Amino acid sequence: MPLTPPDLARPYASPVGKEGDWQLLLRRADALQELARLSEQPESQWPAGTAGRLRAAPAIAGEPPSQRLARWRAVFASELADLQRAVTAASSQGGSTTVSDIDLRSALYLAGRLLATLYGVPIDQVTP
Amino acid sequence: MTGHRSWTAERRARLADPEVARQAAEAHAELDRREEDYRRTLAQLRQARRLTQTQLAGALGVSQAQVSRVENQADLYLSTLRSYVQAMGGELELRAVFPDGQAATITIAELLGHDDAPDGLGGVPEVDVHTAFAFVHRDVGSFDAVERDFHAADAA
Repeated sequence: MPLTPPDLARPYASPVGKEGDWQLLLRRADALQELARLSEQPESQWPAGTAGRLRAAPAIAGEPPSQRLARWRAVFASELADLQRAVTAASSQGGSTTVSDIDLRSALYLAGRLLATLYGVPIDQVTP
Repeated sequence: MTGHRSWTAERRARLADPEVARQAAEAHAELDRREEDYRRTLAQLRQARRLTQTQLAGALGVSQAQVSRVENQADLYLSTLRSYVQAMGGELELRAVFPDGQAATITIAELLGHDDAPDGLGGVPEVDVHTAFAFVHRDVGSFDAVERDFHAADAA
């Protein structure tokens, strides 16, 4: 589902708003890392919530959730690695204060697209 | 006038010598050949295992186009290369060989963090913030195309 990216260059109106997005990025990065880890485990060992969300995804009819997750991880391996590296670099060097507004918005958008693609939902319905 | 020639002028003057020009052409050809050798290596490795790109794609859980992209990519993540080799039933090793004859095998698991690390998410080498986010911007720009690959396999 190709999407027009939001205005990623839009500056944050306040440090509070930026910090909120930074915390959301951390939660999404954690979720992505957990999904990548689960992709190497049998479905029977997945938390009920993860398995349920993947089974409920509308685009995976006919494809077992475990296969869908493994394929997603393989296809988006570079994106997952790049996002993880960016979050790690920023976290170790001061968090949201070291990241420019456009960098933070872009990373948050990329994390959202990765989750939205996996679950087959629009990006504005992605959680976290 | 200082009497010094710019490097560009110097280079032109040197290349005016037919022998120098011939050697330069040979050097360029050698570089091209090495690059082509690299590109062929992964494909030849796969062919030697009597695997098609489609079969390997199935083992990796990606599209055939993705396998083709890996085989033609000039630079790869070690984690990607390891997955590719493992999908063929092999294990990836790196060997450092020095002019004095000493050699050492580099452990991939140590380079990538740990053996069970998921592709690209474990042991990702640290870089400065600016460089790290430059990759994120690149990924945002190319996301639609990669996502099409993902959904193409959905439909297949």
